[in-house]
Amino acid sequence: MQKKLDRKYLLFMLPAIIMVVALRFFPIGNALRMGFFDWNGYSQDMNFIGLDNFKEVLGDSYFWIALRNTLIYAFGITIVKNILGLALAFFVNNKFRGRSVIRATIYLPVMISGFIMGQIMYYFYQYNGGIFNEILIKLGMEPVYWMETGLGATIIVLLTTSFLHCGSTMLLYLAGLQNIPHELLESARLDGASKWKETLHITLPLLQPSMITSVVLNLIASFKIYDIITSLSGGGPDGGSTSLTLLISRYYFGYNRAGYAAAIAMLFFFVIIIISMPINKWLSSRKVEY
Amino acid sequence: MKKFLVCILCLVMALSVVACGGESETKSEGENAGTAQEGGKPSQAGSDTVNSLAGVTLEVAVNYTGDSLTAFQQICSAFESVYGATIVIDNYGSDYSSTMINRMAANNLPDVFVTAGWSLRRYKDYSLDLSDQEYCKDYDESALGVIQDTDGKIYVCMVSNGVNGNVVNLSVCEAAGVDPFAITTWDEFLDACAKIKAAGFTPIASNPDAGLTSNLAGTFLTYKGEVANVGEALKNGTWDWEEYMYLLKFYQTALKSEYFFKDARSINTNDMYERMAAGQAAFIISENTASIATLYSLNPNGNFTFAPFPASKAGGEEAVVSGEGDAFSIWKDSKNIDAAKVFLNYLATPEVSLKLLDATSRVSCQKATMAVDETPGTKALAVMQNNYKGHNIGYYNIWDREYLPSGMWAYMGTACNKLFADYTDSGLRAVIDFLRDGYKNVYVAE
Repeated sequence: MQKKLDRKYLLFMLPAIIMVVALRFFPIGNALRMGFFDWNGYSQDMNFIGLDNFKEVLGDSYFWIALRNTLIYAFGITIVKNILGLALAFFVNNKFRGRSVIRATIYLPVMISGFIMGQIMYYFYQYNGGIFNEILIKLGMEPVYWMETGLGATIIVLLTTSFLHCGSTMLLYLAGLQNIPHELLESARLDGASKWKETLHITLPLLQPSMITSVVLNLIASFKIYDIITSLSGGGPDGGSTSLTLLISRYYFGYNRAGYAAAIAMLFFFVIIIISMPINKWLSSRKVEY
Repeated sequence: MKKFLVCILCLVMALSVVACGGESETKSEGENAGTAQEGGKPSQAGSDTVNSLAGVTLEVAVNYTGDSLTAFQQICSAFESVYGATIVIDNYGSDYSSTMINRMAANNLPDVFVTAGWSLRRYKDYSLDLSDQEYCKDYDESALGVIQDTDGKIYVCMVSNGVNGNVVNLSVCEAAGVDPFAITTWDEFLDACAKIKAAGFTPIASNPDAGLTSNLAGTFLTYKGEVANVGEALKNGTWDWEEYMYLLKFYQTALKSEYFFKDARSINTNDMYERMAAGQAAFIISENTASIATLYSLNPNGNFTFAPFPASKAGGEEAVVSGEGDAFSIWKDSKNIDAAKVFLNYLATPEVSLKLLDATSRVSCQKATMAVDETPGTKALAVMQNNYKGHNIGYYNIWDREYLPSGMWAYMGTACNKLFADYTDSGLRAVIDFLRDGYKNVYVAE
């Protein structure tokens, strides 16, 4: 009887299993296979070269720059977006006139393509006639070449992405704030807790589920950052602000080195696994009890 | 919160509708009827051709944007209304190359597709031999040099050339006391830059781009009377890139002398045009004729002209390079080969191709069209020929398409970025090493 039931359950699971194998395991397996070939990405012929692509990647300075940048983007954007999102959530959780408009305004850039936002923000940072430099000149200061170095461009991309997309994080924290039981806050107030202590000992600990969701979602999204870099810095100067996703795309479609790009993608895949496993373990050990 | 969510949902839906409108487009006959006249009815479309392709759906992949896309849509609508076929336009825009690479890998191409300069080096194995088509007998020699394979076969219906050279802001040159029409060598070009800088302008508006390190390379390396002649070694894969130092030294001088904008490394292309149109700079190195139209649209009162690339030394040949402009191939395994051939014949008729050229500002390459072509690209080229009368100008196939394997263009772009980031002697050496390695990689892969 139990075996029959198990088989029935297995049948129910089959569509999901097929989907996961077809849409997850097959592409990953295929990318791994491609990494062992010298292939231009479109020819019907592939040349097996063993581990050569992987060896070459490890000696490629552009790979290491892109890996460094990807880690800066992933952790930097996650941290800045969470700090900003939390602060904004506290702000728009208060009742005041025009609150809905402000919430919508903060969220709006999230719905616009990163490519377009990058184009718009380019005119803020450009050296010659950019909005920020015009302000500096009006204040009697020298204009700054914000994107002169790779690190400078990386930080500009990081801050721009964080400021533009903090609306989604704000929304997560706002939902968390509105789920905190009022009686908890009221009893704290009756016990004479100050606003600061109320936030520190009740609100923030109870926001942990939102925080975990936000950190995980932002980390995943920031590892894949692509469009805003393309339009804001183009990955430059000299590849200095390139992310791994952009580098993979360049090698695959630009240099016609699909096998090499697949090798980078696989190494990137393992980097993400190595980073995400301890984070996932730590986050899942944090539980909130009311 | 509810109101907020409703607002957000409405905005998302509105944006989705707008976003969905830009991708793949199929037009019903009803929609086409109103625009049939705009696309122009082909002269040979007699009563026997009307609705002769009813029920056929052609998938056409293009990389057009803006006015060029609008013009192409109008042409397709007119074709649909005459022949009764349905055309689905896959507009891949800036993702064109990557999408087509994926479609080639899957061996599943559109019936008709733009070749974007790669009819021979990239798409040949997937394209139908069109050598027997009427329009192939009408190509100008300059076009045949670009699209004809070594065995004489032609795989593309090309209605225009993409012509590349330098662009000059004549107002800036005049204000600086520079005669751009007297420039014949890159050294004279640098002398002119010095005068322009002294007059308070930025001499060169260009940003680092593959065109700078590739399109004019022939004036140092392969054309008649230049400082080097390495064409053969390039083609057979034995070149060691050492002579490329001539071109790098030219840029080193320009960069050291601050002839580019201080933020040249991070200028985007729109910004570059805006600065040039606003009269901040005198030259853009390596641009096609279409950019003249762009500059005039930004500044109708400006005074711009197209110019050949100067020679690397006195007695060398100045050059204008041209490659595939508006060029279309048919997938050899298409189920609609006959209908696709009719469509390409339609595109090749002068009255139809002129509509496209008017929007793309490229230069016609079929004798029948050339005889009646007064579109902006052709005008720009004619004005150049008039301004540079008496100069020794050679007309060549675009350099990388002639001498470099597919995939090298991206290396040239990266090399240009490296050069702008570090133009010391060791930086130049690093650029040469990078290009040599890249050339080896893609030459083997090809």
